[in-house]
Amino acid sequence: MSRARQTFIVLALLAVPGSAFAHTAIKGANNFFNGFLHPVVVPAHLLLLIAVGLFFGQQKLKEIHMPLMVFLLSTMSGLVATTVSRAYQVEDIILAGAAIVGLLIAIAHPIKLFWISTVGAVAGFLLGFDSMQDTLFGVQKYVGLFGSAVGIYCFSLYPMLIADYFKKKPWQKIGIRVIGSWIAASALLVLALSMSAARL
Amino acid sequence: MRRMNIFATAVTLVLYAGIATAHTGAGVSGGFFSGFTHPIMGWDHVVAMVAVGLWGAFLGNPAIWILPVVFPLVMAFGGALGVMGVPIPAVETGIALSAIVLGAMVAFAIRPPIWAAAVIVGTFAIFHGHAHGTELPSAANPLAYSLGFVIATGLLHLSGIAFGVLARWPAGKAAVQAGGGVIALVGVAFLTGIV
Repeated sequence: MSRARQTFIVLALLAVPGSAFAHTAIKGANNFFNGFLHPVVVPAHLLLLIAVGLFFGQQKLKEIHMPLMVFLLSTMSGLVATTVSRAYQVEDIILAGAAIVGLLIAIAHPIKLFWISTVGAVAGFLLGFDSMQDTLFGVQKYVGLFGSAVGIYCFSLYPMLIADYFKKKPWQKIGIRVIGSWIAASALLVLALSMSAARL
Repeated sequence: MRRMNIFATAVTLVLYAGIATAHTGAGVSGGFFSGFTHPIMGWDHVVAMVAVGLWGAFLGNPAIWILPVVFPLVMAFGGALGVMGVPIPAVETGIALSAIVLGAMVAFAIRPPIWAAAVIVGTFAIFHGHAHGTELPSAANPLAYSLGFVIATGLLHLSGIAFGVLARWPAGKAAVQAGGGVIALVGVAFLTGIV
């Protein structure tokens, strides 16, 4: 075999290796980032987060600082509660919460500040309580839980700002209400599936 | 030797072929994709969803947004019945009838009170939801699947609304009514088994 042919074969084989899929976003992430991304990789959490964010965004922005604070505090309470208690079947309650908040968005009826804060309190606690880091221990666990708190809060702000921005024109408000009905419909369906599976 | 060269070249070229990573059909993305395509791939769903948007736009405010909000919510109820195995008779007939009735409403420019329009749309939504719901337990990710088909349904409504907005102009009104007539005829074709 000539040297040119040998060189060709070596170069050809070197060109063969495929792409290196080293790791997924979660596997390579540190504990903080794992916790931070937790709400967006669990579809039920993401659904409730979007719902709560849109619901807050539908309200008057000047009045929303109190429910936002309640949401943050109750999220942290839920995360702290994971260190002393274990969550069972919380995902179904989260879906039920998403369905209720989705309906509230679709109805878009004026709601008193107390009830807006209550929605934030319940949603925040549920999201926190279902974000346990049971594979981590010690300081690593608290770093992961802190990441979850930051993630839940940050990812709820995006839909809130979107809903606030898109309430200048009637069709924009309608769009947000339609999305609320989609959230409620999806959550109700999966809740029905979960209930039927539990019944069998 | 020449055959050997051809064989070596062929083997080398075969090795260049990359793996197909377009989609796996599993997990969240697979569930969402299968849910999203479910209403779009079925023409009986497509024409009925477009008809809902078309009728909403034809009726004007507030029907233009009430119907697309009512539909997914009642559809979820129908889907829940399907998931729980509660039988509904003649689901496919109901879906075909939805295209006929909603298409005819637009074609004949029928303007019932908003509550009556919502009841009509909601009734048919149960049939569509039931059909989607029976597929839900086998989905790769049920929540992603349900989100996919609800969003696809909403976008089909939107395409109907976009076309229905033409009804603001006299020529557009005729086009929208003709569109309703076509939808009703397609529904007849589904009901009689022509398509």
